[in-house]
Amino acid sequence: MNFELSDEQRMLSDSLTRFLADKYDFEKRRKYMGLEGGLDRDIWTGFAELGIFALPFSEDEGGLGGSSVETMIVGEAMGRALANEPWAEAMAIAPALLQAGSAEQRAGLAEGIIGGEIMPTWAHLEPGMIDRGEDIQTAEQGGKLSGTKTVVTFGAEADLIFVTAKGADGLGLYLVRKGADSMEARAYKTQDGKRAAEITFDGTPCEPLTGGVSAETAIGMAEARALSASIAEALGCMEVAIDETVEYIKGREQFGRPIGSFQALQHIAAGAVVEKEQVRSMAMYASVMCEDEDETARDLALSSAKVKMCDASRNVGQMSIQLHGGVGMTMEYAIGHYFKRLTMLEIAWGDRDFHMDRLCEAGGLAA
Amino acid sequence: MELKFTPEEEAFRMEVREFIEANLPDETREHLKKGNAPTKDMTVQWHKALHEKGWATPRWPAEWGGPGWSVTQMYIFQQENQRAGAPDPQGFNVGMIGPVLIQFASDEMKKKFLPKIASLDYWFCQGFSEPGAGSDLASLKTSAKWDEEGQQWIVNGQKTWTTYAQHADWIFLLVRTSNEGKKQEGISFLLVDMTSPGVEVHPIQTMDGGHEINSVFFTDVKVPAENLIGEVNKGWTYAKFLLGNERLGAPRVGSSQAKLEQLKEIAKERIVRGKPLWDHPRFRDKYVEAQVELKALEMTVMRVLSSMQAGADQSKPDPATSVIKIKGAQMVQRMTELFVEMAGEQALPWTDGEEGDNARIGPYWAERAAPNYFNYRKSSIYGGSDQVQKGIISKAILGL
Repeated sequence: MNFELSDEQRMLSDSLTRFLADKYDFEKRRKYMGLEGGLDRDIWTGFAELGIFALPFSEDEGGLGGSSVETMIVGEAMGRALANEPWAEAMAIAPALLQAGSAEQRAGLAEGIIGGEIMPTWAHLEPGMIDRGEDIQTAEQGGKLSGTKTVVTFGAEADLIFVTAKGADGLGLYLVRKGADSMEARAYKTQDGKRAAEITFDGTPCEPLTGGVSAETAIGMAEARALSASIAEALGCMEVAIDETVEYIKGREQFGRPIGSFQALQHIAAGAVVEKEQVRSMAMYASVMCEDEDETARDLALSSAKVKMCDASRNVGQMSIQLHGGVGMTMEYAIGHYFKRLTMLEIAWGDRDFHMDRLCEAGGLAA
Repeated sequence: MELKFTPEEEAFRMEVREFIEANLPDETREHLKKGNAPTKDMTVQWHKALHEKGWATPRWPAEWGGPGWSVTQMYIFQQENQRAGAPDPQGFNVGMIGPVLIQFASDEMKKKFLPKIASLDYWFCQGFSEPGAGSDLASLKTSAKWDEEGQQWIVNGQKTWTTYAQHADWIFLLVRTSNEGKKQEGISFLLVDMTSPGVEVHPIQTMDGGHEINSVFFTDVKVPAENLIGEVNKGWTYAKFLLGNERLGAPRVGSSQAKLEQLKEIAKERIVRGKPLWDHPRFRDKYVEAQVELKALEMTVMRVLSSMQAGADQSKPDPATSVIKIKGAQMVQRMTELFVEMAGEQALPWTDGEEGDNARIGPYWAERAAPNYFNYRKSSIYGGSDQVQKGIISKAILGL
């Protein structure tokens, strides 16, 4: 048992934090959000140059052979900066989905992702699928995809789209390149400042991922790792939300004194710290368990972490706005943006009800 | 980062489990499984059995009889001991006064007291709270005046909420030795023999009917000079160190895990409105939510222990212990609520004393369900209440 980070992991955290402090403060973020497509590719290239996309890939694939602990470290920093880029798609999802592919497919695409030339995304959810367990309708026939996918992160901007679809042999994973024929991407902004798209495939040429693990296995891995990454991201958001709130109540004076001197407010803030610390523990648990070979144990562990994260996100997000008072309601202040990101992260990768169901059906975590 | 245990650690777990299995008396096991607190004899018997094995003082340095375990081993031992439903080693001795002596006392004092504290030949109780000094502990008034002639301290005052004072051979006391300057700077730390003339113990009955706590009165009690720990007027520093340790021991994760297991076992058998309670969705929700919170607490505890292992400064209290204290108390309390909810009307009958002498109408676990719920409201009050912990977090972590 050891919860300490290695020296390399600390260095990763430091260098990414420095990069984000320099390139991704709140004002710069606002600028990137105003660009066409809602991001600046130089930032994406910067992430690649820091080596973060190499972390999750094995050495055979040209990567650094890191673990989900590295993804957690990255996620926490990205959460702190409210980064919008599809870093989790590149770090957590793509390496897992590629496990369904052959060695050549893996190596070929890994190189592009690691170098930052390929920004990937995953077209998985479909309209009307409010629960993740429902049937996939998108189908592949004769190398062509038909169907509609919903809220695909940066779906119009991504260079490579992983698509979940039903093929001749059941569930499969397929690759579609940006600008492929017979594909329409209707792009829009999300509540928390990202971009997403509804994508309609109408006989779109695609390449199946074959030669590796089953699509179900790869999807299970991808969802577990994405969920783990999103919990770390939420942790980063909560840290800053609490820091910003505490700074604010130290400076804001009412009744002739800083409102942070009032015990009622102090105890609300302290309660948020307690919840956030529990999430930190669960983020660590999730990052280790998301690589567990026992898929049931893995999924239940992640569900438990997600339930805790949902409760804490709501607590920390709402208290942050409340303690900021009126200015917390404005677009101008950062705090509202953290609140919005936390709210969207609650929903991502299965909401609280989905994960409670999964735990309850299994009779809870294994003893 | 690594959460899995090594084969050596798993082997250690089996060794602990087998030792407990072979040595814990059935009577003790049964008594605790019903939800009772251990009797004095049960604690003494089990503490001494662990001490003989070298396991009663896991966190003490080897020099003073600790087993030289890693943090992980300490964690495994505590978890196994609690999950087996065995009494904890006596906490005031092992987790409070022992570590304070090890950290702050003279060698002479360590030699005199530590072996008997470790073996439980001396049962220590804690003399901190007073009628006028609860959360504001530093306002305590029990005084120790230096008697130049007799070269001794003369103690006068009253302590309260003193757990198991009726069992104790010794009490560790916070006393006022100065009224100059800040109130924290006039406090000293004394060890007092409970058989000293002028010490009187009065029982306090708690609302569950039990007798755990007491008032202890001191009237001109003579205490030898050498019973003062460290330096005069430095007692507050030692007390804060002690309370940090107390908070770390508070969560009782293994015990809550055992309660959850027991709860599930019973719920599967218990038929409510035509089907096992376990199959009622509302019960299952509550069970799973408690389990999630407990898992997070377990990870937080392991995280703090791991940072200690990695060399965090142990002479200062870690604010994370406040998080653990709050959540630990909440979990212990939540378990007791779930037992009451599971018992339904069978929680109603009142029985006197620790073993029911009224007719029992419900199953074996129902008799203590309500009294334990009542009794464990204490856990968010003692050792620094939830509100005191939030004050610590506000100041020490948030700088408010």
